[in-house]
Amino acid sequence: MVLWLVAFAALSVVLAILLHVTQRKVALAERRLQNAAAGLEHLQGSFERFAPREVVERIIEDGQATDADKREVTVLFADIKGFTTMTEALDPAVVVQVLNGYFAAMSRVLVANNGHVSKFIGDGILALFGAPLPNPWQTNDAVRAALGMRDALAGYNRKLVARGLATIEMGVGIHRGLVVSGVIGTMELMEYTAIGATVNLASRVEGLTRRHDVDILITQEVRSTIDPRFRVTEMPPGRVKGVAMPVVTYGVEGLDENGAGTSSVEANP
Amino acid sequence: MRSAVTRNAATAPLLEEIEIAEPVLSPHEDKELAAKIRKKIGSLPTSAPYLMRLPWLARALFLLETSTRGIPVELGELVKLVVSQDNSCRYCYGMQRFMLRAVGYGQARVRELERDLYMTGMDTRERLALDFARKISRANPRPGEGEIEALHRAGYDDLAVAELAYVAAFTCFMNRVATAFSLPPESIEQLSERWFFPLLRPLMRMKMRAGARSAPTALPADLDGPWAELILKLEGSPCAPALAQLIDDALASDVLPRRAKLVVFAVVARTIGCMRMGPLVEGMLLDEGLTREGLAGILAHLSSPELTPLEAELVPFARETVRYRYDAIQSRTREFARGHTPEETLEAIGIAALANALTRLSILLEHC
Repeated sequence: MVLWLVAFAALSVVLAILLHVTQRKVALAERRLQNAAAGLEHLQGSFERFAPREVVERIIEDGQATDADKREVTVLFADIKGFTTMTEALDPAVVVQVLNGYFAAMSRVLVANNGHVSKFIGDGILALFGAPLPNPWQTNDAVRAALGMRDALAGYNRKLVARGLATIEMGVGIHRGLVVSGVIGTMELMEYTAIGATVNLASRVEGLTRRHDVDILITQEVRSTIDPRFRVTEMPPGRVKGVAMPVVTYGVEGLDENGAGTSSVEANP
Repeated sequence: MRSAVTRNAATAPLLEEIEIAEPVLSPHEDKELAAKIRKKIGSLPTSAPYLMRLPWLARALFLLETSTRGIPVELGELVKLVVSQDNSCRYCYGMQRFMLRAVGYGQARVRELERDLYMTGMDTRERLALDFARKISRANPRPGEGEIEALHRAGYDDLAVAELAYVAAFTCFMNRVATAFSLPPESIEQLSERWFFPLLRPLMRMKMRAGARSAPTALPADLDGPWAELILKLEGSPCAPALAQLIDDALASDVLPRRAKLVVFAVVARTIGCMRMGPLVEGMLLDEGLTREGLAGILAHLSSPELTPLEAELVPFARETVRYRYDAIQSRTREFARGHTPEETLEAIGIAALANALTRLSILLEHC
């Protein structure tokens, strides 16, 4: 009897020790899992800045970004005129500060006008209207955004002058058409963006701003769908790389908020 | 392959991560309405006085029936939690956490559901319902025939599908009102932390289930008008007469002109791309005196010389309420409040919130 009791007691002690050790291991595993979860959630939150929430969720669910679609989108390209020359004269830290301040100011305007800032390319900005979220007023939003960027740049330039720095000039090109949109890249580096001839033409149109000496140019496809209260000036057709026919563009002067909406296109003399 | 550590809705915030802003309007008590609310709920919610200047809106949030017959009470409360968390509505999210505790969920379980809905041992049937509810809420795109067929195959009948859509859409309504006005969190949220809560919980659960069983389902005999077809999709549910009452109250109120409210509806429907609600409301706008040209201008460019100054102000306001950016909704509301009476501000938000709910609910007309 005594032997049984001793054996039972010994077994209980061993089981208690095993239980304690197991509980500690489980607690350690749970802490590690929580840390991993927190880390992953932080990454998810960071990634949401580059891709829409629904896209992030599908990537997590499927393990890869698979969905893409073809849709009509308005593409806005913005670029700083003469920035490369400017960078040669400035300390690198100042260049980065100036550029980041410019990006922040322009991004605020783009987002406030329902644009999706797809990427920064050097000193350029590519923004999409109508993707990832559909937008029945995408061209109006894009042109309003461009006008807003003009005003925001004026404000930013005043700050640069106050710091003894040179002002920035910007060119904006806007075009509307079909694109392939989706998450492009690898798991290490990906972004939600659009590709296709529409994107290329928007970039070329931005380049035309230097030739026509204006800051905002839109194509006929944009002109035909925007609010007639926007005041635009027709530019001479211009040849651009990759497009067979000369491209007709319009410089955007402004918006008559209280206008009756008569078509106000002036031909460039 | 799903990661073991994904967050519910990937990036939906937890309750403690959502900022609490100052309420937009000051409180105002309507004694008669307060008495009715106390009678139904048992006490006067902290947030009620902030909405009482507009009785129909206060009634919608605190007195409107949301009991269901086709889906269990627990699933309805889960839908409300998922949608409220997804929309980062601090007020509704906090209340829904409490409601889930009230219907029997333990604290740890609620936490699990918040952090990773799909890793909590939820069955496929429930998961389908919650996915459907989230799609209704996000409307990007809204659920289609495929999602509804999947629900039918999982055993949800027409009434259950309609009620799932209603609960999700009505939660969107509440989220927008609560967020726009920055309604303060309810003190009752803390009740679930008290030692005596486990004793109260069975009583609360019984009351909720009894309420669901006894809630009236009869529709008015003379139900007619442009919304009748939508309301009839919920026939047999207590949600149907509730929805009919809400629409009547909202459109009958004379704080904002009827046409201005319909402009809000038209903008919301167009933003979401609803092929049923859009034409319905556009027809009503023509009946209210807008010309076809004026309507075309609003739909194409969100502007028209025929818009009154109030309508012109409501147009961008309505658009901002569709995609849930709570900081943008709050700042638009504050801006509107600066130039209008509290009643007008309450009604503008109430109508925009209702437009969002009805447009989302109208998938029942498209696919059911």
